[in-house]
Amino acid sequence: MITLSADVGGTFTDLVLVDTERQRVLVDKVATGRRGSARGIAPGILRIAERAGCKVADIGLFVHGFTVATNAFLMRQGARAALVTSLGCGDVLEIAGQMRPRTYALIQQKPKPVIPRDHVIEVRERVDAFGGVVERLSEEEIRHVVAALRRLDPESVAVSLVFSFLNPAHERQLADAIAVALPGIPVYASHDINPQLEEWPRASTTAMAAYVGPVVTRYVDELEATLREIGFAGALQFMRSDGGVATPRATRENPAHMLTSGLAGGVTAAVKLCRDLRVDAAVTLDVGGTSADLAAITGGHSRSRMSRVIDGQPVRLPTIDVETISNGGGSIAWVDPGGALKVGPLSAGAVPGPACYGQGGTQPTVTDAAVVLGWLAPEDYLGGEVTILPDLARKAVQDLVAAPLGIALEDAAFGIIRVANAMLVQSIRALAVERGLDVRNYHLIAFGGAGPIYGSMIARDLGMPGVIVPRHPGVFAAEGLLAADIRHLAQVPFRGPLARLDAAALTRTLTQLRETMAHELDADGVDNHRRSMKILGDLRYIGQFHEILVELPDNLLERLDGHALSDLFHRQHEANYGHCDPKAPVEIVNLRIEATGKLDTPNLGSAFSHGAVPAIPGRHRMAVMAAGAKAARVPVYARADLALGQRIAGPAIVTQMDSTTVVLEGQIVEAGAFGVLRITEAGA
Amino acid sequence: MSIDPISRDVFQHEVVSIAEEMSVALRRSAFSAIIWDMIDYACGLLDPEGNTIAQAPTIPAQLGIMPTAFRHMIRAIPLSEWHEGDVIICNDPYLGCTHTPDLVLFSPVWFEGRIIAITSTVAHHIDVGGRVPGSESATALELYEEGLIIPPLKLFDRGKPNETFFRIFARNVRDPKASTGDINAQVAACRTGERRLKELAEKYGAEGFARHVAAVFDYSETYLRRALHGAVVRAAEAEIFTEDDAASDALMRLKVKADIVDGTLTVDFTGTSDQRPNGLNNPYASTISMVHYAVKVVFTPDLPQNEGCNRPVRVIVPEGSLLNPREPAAVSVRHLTQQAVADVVLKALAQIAPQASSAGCQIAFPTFVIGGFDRRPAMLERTDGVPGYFVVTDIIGGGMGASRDQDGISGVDTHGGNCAILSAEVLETTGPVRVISTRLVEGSGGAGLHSGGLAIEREYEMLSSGLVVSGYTQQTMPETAPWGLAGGEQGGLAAVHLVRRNGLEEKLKSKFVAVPLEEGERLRMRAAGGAGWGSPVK
Repeated sequence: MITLSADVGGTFTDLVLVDTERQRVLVDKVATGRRGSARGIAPGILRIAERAGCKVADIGLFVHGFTVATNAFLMRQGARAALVTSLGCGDVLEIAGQMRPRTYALIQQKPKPVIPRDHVIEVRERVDAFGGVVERLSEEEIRHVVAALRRLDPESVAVSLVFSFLNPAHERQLADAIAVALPGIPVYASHDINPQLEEWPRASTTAMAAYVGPVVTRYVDELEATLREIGFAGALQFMRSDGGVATPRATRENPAHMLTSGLAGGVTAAVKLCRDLRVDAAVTLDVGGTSADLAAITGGHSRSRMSRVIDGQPVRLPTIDVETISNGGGSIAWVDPGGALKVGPLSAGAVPGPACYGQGGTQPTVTDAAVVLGWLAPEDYLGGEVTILPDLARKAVQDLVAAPLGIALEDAAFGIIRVANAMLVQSIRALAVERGLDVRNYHLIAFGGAGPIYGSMIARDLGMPGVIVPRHPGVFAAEGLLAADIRHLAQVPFRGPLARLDAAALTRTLTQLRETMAHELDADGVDNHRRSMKILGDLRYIGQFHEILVELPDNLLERLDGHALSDLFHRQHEANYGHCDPKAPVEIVNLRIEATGKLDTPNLGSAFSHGAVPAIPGRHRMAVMAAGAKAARVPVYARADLALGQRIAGPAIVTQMDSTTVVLEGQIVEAGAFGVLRITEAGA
Repeated sequence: MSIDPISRDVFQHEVVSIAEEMSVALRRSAFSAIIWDMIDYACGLLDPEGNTIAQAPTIPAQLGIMPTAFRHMIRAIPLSEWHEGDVIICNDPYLGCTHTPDLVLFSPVWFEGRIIAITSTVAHHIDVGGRVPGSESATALELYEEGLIIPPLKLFDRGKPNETFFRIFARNVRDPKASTGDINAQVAACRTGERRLKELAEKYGAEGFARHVAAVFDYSETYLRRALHGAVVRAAEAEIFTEDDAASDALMRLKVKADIVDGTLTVDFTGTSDQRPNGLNNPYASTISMVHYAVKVVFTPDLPQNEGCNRPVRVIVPEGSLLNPREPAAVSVRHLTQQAVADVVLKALAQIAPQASSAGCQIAFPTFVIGGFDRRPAMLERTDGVPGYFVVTDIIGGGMGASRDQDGISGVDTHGGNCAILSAEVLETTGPVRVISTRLVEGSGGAGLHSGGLAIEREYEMLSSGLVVSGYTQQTMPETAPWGLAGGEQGGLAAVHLVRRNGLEEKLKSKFVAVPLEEGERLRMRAAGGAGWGSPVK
């Protein structure tokens, strides 16, 4: 079977084609083209198919990861949406949590809500904290809302009423009336999207679905049409924020699950790699052009989180737990008024790009520093497709960092790397401490174009056991798309003390949830033997408002044991926070279900061509490999030339089309199984 | 040997990282919402002289209070008696701490046979005993009404907990489990700091560590001095007034003179009102913290905080004044006055650095605590007919002042705090109080070329009878309203109203204590709006 995956980023689209019969993996990187359009992908697919010697029609599965939803949101190019909310709550998105974004600034801006105040309609109705109706929604009010919406002429509508998750009747009534009155306009009801306590995050999540929904639908439609035109006849799947994939149908119906699709691929790939290598604990470091994404893998699994805040807007839907910081290859280095060297948060982006691209950028970036140090060379960079002009890199670093600091050019360049590295180290420490992990037991999986540049330094600073550089670091996230399975999630409010759970109500609720999931999998055409379901609960100490997600046993209904369930919670609390109170009563507030449809994902295992004999360095390059050192002759190896099991002592540079790996003095790099490079300290 | 700038900058990241790890360690093991949600705590590292090496950026109200407290600690317990494993505790506002709920902890970091650094954590505890739940009361007359006063003493001696202290403490606070848990979270943070500082010292050696610390201080000092040098106007005065409404109806005056001479900024509060027999007095450490906050936001918002930022700043606070009271003045609601300290200093700095300043912000901070029995029928069904006792509290945000280039932002807490508004659904789930509406008040931002941010107004309906509400605010009259700049107008006034069941409205004083409320009655709280900048375009 031939499978294809594409990870569409802002600048480049990464493609990976796997031909399991011929045990071949092909990778490619093509320009993305016009933002938000699915058309640009056609030439890339045709090219990689041609290189693979197959027809587009031979591709059985195409998995697509994208940043379209994220970008539509970040660039504020989403749909013109309207929000209907309860009387007295019209400012809910503007007031948000009442927090000011920057604690230490007098002059600042609050992030703009995705639905402006003049597109918010208040409706007279009220439900109380027990789901009882305080004020009934009248026909007249419905007519009033519909009339107001007609005047606004929105592309989509969000409805989020107070306590609708306890009693959705009013919200349902309104959503139905709007759907009838405004045919073709999608309506998102908060009790569907995020049935959960707290009006602001629920309204925000629902508003976000309405904001990106039409954009996602347009993109999916366009992609389907494009693929049809070039003869694709296989199955199409889209990466979700939670690391699962969705069919085009499910993608259109749950657009908010696509919001951080772009972050999921890398972690999913790393989880697969960990399984192959039998590595249990790892931190992933994905350094791209403008940002670095960090995630922890524990017990061989990625971690989920139930909500995240994107540009000040909470989205309460499960996503893979990834932290993003503004620290990438394009991050700009500058000297502050006190004479300190800073890196970021501004980035040169793709345009004008680093100074060495010669496209008008004059600010020194991390990439420029790596060029000055001799780590990146014109002949290797992206297989020579992007031109690198070292003189421009040197000029930028000299004029804007070395001169103002009064230090040598090489020291300034190494300084940029050291400061950027210190920031990454700081972020990884914070990530670990927040999750109660000891990084000294975690491997570092370094990928993205620039990740393998930092990996060896970070692992050394953090005392990590080693660095793993995947075979295709620059397109690793695209590989991850091929490792995912179909996923559906649902949640419902279900509240009660664990000690006195209402078995009948629980059975009813769970049965209903399972049926909903079964319908979804039916619609996706997933065979019975490929299905599995997981039950989870949001649990907390009675009286507190911090829930912990706990996986509940499959046989929950057969053996309803409140004591055992509480124990699961206490143990999780201990793991997360370092303490628990086994005597304190625990309650459940939400039930969740996760349905999976297993896909036939290709095993890329041995599909990497190693050199037949141990490589000798093809060439040497003048490079600076330590702080304060002078440039010296450093051996340069081509990645594909290394023989399986070959060990090389640092300092060394390993090049390949999509990335460059730096190995420091005192370290050993080994070409390992599954095509990875493993870097360890020589003495260890 | 001097330290090269890059090694210094890397070191700076390393020490800030340690302060942040302490901060995370504290938060993750804390028990109370005040730490979890309001982030009312701070973690930092000091050198053995008590100079701040790094502090995690949590709540500004706690900025830079550690050095003040530390200097009192070593007078009580000389550093020669601080052993490996010790933790020192104190909360005495007259020994460099802030108000009694803020427990301040220190621990020494031993390396190569000497103390190379001190870790410190400050956390606001939900209650430390005293007259009222929460230990805070605007009408308190003396410190002794504000809960347990802890003198400098060893909470841990060579790693061994002081059980006597823990027992006395637990018996004197209203929620011993949460409070003890939060102290242990603070200790965990100190231990994290100790461990990580030792790792860092391994890398640099004790000598090298000290030299890097010195380089980091010099850098911050240079940064701030350069910024001060750039000021065209070098001297300014300002005054503002705040309501008392507890001890007296007379307003309280905060007066400040700011002078820049030879790259040093002197902030002199001479002329400020004398201390009052109420809980609004602001202890010395809290005055200092808000001066540092004001200087930081105007001159160095992006600079990590350390001793270097304090060196070019001299603060004069007359003893016996509202901002440096003598024992045993009460101080528990000092945060209202503390906000006013930031406000008056910023008003003076606005003349010195207008491009980096804003017009007056809301510091009204309307806050209430409602307590009583929950007698909602649906709740009684769940509690087998026995009404449960509940306490809820909420804080309402207002507008920030406008600035030269833009409007002020709306609906936020300002300066010393950055507290979230309580979710209406959480509130009604917790107790018999329903939020009827939460609105940004149109027109509450002061007019100007750029207008001030809008105030929030929230209206609550009582769903049970026999409830009791206490609370406070300020900026309720033209004399105390947020001040406009460059011709901009004042921000809208804060107000608290009761709406009786017959529809009659009753305006409450800015401080109100134990007001009874019946089912169906409503409470309406409004914060102040931010002031405007520049003359409004007609």
